[in-house]
Amino acid sequence: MNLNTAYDNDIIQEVVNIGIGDAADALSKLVKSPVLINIPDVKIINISEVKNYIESELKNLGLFIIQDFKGTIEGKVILSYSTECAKSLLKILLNETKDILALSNIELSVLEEIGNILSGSCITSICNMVKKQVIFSLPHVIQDISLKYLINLQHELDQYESCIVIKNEMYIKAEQINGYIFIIVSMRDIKSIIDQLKDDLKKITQGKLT
Amino acid sequence: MIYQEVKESFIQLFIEGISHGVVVIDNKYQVLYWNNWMFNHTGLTEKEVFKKSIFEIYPQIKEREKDTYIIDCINYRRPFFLSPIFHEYLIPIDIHDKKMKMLQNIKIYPSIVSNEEIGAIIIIEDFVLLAKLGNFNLNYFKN
Repeated sequence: MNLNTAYDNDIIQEVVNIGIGDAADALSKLVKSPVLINIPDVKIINISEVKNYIESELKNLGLFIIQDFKGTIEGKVILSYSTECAKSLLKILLNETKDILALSNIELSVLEEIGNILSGSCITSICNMVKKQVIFSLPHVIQDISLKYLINLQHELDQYESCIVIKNEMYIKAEQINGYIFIIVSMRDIKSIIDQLKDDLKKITQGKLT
Repeated sequence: MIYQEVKESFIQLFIEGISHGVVVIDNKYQVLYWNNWMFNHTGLTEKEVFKKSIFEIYPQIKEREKDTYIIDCINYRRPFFLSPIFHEYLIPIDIHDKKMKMLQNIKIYPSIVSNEEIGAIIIIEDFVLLAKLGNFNLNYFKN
């Protein structure tokens, strides 16, 4: 099942942009510094491509923040940053001058909070737009992903068909942090988001015309 | 039935034995559960805080604008993690002869209580111990 038109793709791109914008606002309040998140690339891909991508690319680079959501739409958000990016991010946030060599529980708590804000704000914003309610599970921060975990994650992904991949460039205090956000949902849920927004747009247009 | 009893006794053992504070509140922010750790560190018994608003017990939560995390957790069913690096603490607990507040790693989870009403579970972890174990420089907080 694919999206019908380029217009549908544009809708998803716009929805994601608004969601990420809200996430950037929430993050900038937390770190008391402007946060800019650029999204050079949003695409909807088949779940098998995500599995391949995770297996080939991400398992070696390091840090995942994974969170499930359930409700009228269901899915999983995976944030991924390389360990080096995560360390740079912490260095900025902690005003450290020295390089951070290893991530302890303290540093992980910062990443947990940031990951939770990014994924939570983004999904909440999208759900509010389409008047759907979800409940989030507990986010997990995983570094040095084990083979077993990776296999289990891939099995879990089998129940979904599609994934919105958001490549993001985050700027905090002029430092650039690159990462990925994967929003894994069924194509049915993506279509229901699009249909709801099209309906709302139609109502707004009709309201203006009458 | 036995499974349910075992599960309940395990949960009881876990939350009473855990070296973290556990507070359960309902959707009116009233305390429903307060574990032993909370009593040991605050001196307040579960009886004293039961059905009292957490914001009434600790007005500092609102004063420090940390109430939004609890409110949003319940309203939007979103968990929140509050790192001590950004927030220092949620529940003001004096340590070192009241010279400083206990630094805390906080997790706030939405919870379904009594007939699907949404409340929250607050888990408080003593960060001072974690910082010492992780060789984290506590002077960071003095700056």
